[in-house]
Amino acid sequence: MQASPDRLRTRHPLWGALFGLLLGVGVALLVVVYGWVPFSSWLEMLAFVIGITAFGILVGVFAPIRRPSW
Amino acid sequence: MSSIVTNRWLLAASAVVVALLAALATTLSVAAAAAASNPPGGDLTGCKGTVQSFDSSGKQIDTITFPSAVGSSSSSPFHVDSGGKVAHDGSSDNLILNNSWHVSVAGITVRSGGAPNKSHTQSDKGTDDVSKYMPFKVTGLYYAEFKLSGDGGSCSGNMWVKLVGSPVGTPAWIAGIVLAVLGLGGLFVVGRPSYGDAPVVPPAAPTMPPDSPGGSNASVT
Repeated sequence: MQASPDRLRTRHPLWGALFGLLLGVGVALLVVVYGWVPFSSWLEMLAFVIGITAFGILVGVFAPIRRPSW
Repeated sequence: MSSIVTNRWLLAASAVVVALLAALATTLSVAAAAAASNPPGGDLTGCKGTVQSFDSSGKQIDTITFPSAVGSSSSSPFHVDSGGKVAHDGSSDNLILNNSWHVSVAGITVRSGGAPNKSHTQSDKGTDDVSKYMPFKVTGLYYAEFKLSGDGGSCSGNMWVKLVGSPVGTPAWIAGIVLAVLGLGGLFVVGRPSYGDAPVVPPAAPTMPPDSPGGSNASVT
């Protein structure tokens, strides 16, 4: 008997959040130093980072499964 | 099949990201070109004066006089060189004693001070290095606020400041590149769902042929 891949799927919301946070901070820094988005407050920048972190969580939960090593 | 779906998904995601970045870059370059031609604007109440910025060689970059005809706007920033200087010459509407003041950038106080003002002066003039307000070289567009208050009155204002120059090689730029690459790489290599361990399947109960002594439970209905 071979289980379907859906039953074996392991989601990684915490890894997604962690790397989403890194991506968010990195992109926010680039956006700021290039002056692309006028953040009038650090709270707006925080909201931007949280948004990308949420994207990371979505990737960790809903993205297509990684190719198995077996 | 799974890898084909994953590759298609990655291609689609990459295409969307590239398209968004291209659209953003186009929009922002147009906005930046428009902003570069706008005179600087700002809001100041309780005082008036002039602020000038100079680059590291002493050449004047920008100037703004308060009260300004243009209000504070990100499309009308005051241009400053992070390696240059800023000169101010202003006066308050009222005599302000025992005052305290602060300058904040993006809501974060970067410099503050105060004075009893025993000489009872209402004007102030001076030149400061921009580096006194920034711990390291940065570029970009920031919202800056100033406030001075004390016995007798107050003076406050705000404007958008554009720190000119290339961000390439600055600490914030390096940190941004490193974190973005780490985050994006980790997200797609480690962060995506994966195949977990196979579930433990209990061994099937031994079945016996129907004609064997004792029969089979499976045949009983």
